[in-house]
Amino acid sequence: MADRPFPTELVRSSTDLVLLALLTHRAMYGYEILVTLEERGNGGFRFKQGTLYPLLYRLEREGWIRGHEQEPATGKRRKVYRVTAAGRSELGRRVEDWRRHTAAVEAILDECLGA
Amino acid sequence: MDVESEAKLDGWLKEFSRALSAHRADVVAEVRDDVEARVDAAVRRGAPPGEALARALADLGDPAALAVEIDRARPPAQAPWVRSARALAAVGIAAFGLSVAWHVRPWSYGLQATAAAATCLLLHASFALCVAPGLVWRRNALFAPALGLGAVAMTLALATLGRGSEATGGGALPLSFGAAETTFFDLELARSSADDLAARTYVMAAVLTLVVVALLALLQRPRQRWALAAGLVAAFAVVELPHRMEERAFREDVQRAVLALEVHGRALDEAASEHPEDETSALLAALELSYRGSRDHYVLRRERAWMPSCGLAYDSRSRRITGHD
Repeated sequence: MADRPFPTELVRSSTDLVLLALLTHRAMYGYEILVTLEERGNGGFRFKQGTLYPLLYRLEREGWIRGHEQEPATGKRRKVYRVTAAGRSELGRRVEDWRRHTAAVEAILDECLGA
Repeated sequence: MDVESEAKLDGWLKEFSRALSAHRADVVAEVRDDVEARVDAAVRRGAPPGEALARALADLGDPAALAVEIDRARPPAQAPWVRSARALAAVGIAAFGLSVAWHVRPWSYGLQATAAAATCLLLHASFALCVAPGLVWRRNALFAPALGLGAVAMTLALATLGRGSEATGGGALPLSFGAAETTFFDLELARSSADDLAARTYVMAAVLTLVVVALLALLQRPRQRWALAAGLVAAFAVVELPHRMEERAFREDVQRAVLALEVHGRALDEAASEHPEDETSALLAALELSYRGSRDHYVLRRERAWMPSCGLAYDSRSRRITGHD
């Protein structure tokens, strides 16, 4: 059973990281991103479709992802997004920051609340 | 999707398209594709098409609000050729502004010329900012109190500067000299018209500073804002520093020359300046100062290193250094 969604502020702080990681794995189109996020995130990441486009366009403007039309073997032609070289560098930095951050939070929790 | 759902989706997309700041078929098509994919998936799972579409549209939210968010995240006119043309135009305008400022700066001396050069730079910078691609603008920056106060402070500071172009080089010299032909620069005329020009230049510089600061404040991304501000300061430094250093050197040399002239107690004429045994002549030659004297007063002059068609001159009567072309 899917978990309840994460609080908004938690999602917001990790949105770029999660999207970049997802699109590094493979190129996806908008709805596919929504579904995959929800599945991989055990229901914790439930984006509204209306919030996805500004996020994607912002990442595209930063030069971290690039959207292009792709015609699959079956199905209709769609705009899919993939991570650029700059996006991979950014992802590397953010992953490092995220791991340090979570390690620090874990350490504090362990210290204060016990393992 | 059924016909009714299709019509409902068309209506929503039409409203969304109208709310976008420009016709952007690619954005509308992307949203449509995703909504259709979502509705198809829901219908395959057994949901009624109408209900599936209603949920999808509810998830998208208000079309006008989404359009605003999208415009903010990705402004229109992002076609590669448009971006290239805008980038070229911005670079061209900025380079032209730098060139004009560089050529305007040596015309006169001190802060007045500084203001004129700054005016040229700021005028062109404001145009360049408006056409440069890739800048992310926001709407509420003018309400940021710190930026607003900073802009007002800079404006007032620039508007109250303006009489700093005078410089005294030493005392008047009692002259005794031979048959040197008197050669005057039209300093008085140049100065009086320059004063009128100075007042206008400072006001213009102040207004343009306000415009540029407001434009920079309207940029959403701090990195872009500070990069452009740093670029503007660097451009100003490129124009100002060589001339400022040159003027400082001229002023120091004039002080030495005037002192030497006073010590010797006599003025030089052109013939005297050709006599290497005369210490003052040798000093003036070493300082690369040309001397023109009359019984009443003399003028020391040197061409600008960076703009030989312009020069700096010291007038012993007014005790002022001025620039001229």
